[in-house]
Amino acid sequence: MKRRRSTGQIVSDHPVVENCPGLTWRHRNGKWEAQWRAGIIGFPKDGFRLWRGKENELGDVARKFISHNCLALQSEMLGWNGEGAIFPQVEAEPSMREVILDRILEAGSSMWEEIAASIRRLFGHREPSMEEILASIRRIIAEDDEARSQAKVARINPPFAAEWLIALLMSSRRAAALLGDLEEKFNRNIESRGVRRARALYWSEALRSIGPILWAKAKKLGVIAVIAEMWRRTHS
Amino acid sequence: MADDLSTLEQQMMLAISKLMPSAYGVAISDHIERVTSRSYSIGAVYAALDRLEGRGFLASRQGEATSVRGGRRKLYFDLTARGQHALKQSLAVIDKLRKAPPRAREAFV
Repeated sequence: MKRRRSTGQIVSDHPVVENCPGLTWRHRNGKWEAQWRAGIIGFPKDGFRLWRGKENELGDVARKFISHNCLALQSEMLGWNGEGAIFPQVEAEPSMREVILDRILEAGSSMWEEIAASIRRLFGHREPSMEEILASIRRIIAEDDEARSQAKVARINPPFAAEWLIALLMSSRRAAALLGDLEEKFNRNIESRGVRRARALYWSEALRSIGPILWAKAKKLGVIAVIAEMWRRTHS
Repeated sequence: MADDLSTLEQQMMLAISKLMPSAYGVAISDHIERVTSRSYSIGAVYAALDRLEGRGFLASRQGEATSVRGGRRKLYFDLTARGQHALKQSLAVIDKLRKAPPRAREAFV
């Protein structure tokens, strides 16, 4: 079926691909663009372009590719959100890093001997033992995994408006420490209760904090001075 | 008395004395919640810490920044000698009140 746009351009309906949660279609410069978009609060707003072309160019391989990636991205998003999987979990294609690590860990002794020999050549005089080398590799992998998981957590930011409200009321040094504490709690809550609940708890904690901070300030400076200072901060 | 402490301030200083040298906002509020089952907002904790620091009972120092805290530094608190003395005195007053014998009711004449 064809439709006429407000610009006068005639556009046909977008192609249909089965089993693609989160997929959106856009028509641009005479071509269709398939884009997967995050649709749950708390997940970083992002879109991934999965395919672009004319309707008749969409073959079976491309359809399979779009469906596979939509399911994988959807599963990842639901995992992040802590809500459990509504759509079937799909095992994503392993990354190059995972393949290499798997190969190293599964490899026979010959490969280890080769690695150990090259490391010994580098160290020369010290000749580290096999156990030492293995322990180092395991440590590097563990550190890398930890850094990745920390980076993942850091991608979800706490509500900006609540942060701004706190920063408005306190001196910069105190505000940084307090916001750091709130964010630490927020990240702890994401792991135990999910993003949505963590955001709600962050707001509740921030709102509960305003009273005591304002009261302490009012006692110190007087009510008029507090209002004047807030006005100055918002207008500077 | 200038060295009087409120219940929250007492709890805060006791928590800091237990957690020193790594007493900071979250650790203090977690410790109080774990021991007393009372939950204070971080804002209330910081307001009390500010007050105690202003009275010279606490000293603060900046700690490390971590990614979990969005790159923000921790603010560690330590009890000063004056703070330890004030806490000791305040607890002694409560102890004294607790141990005082009940006063016999005076008879109306």
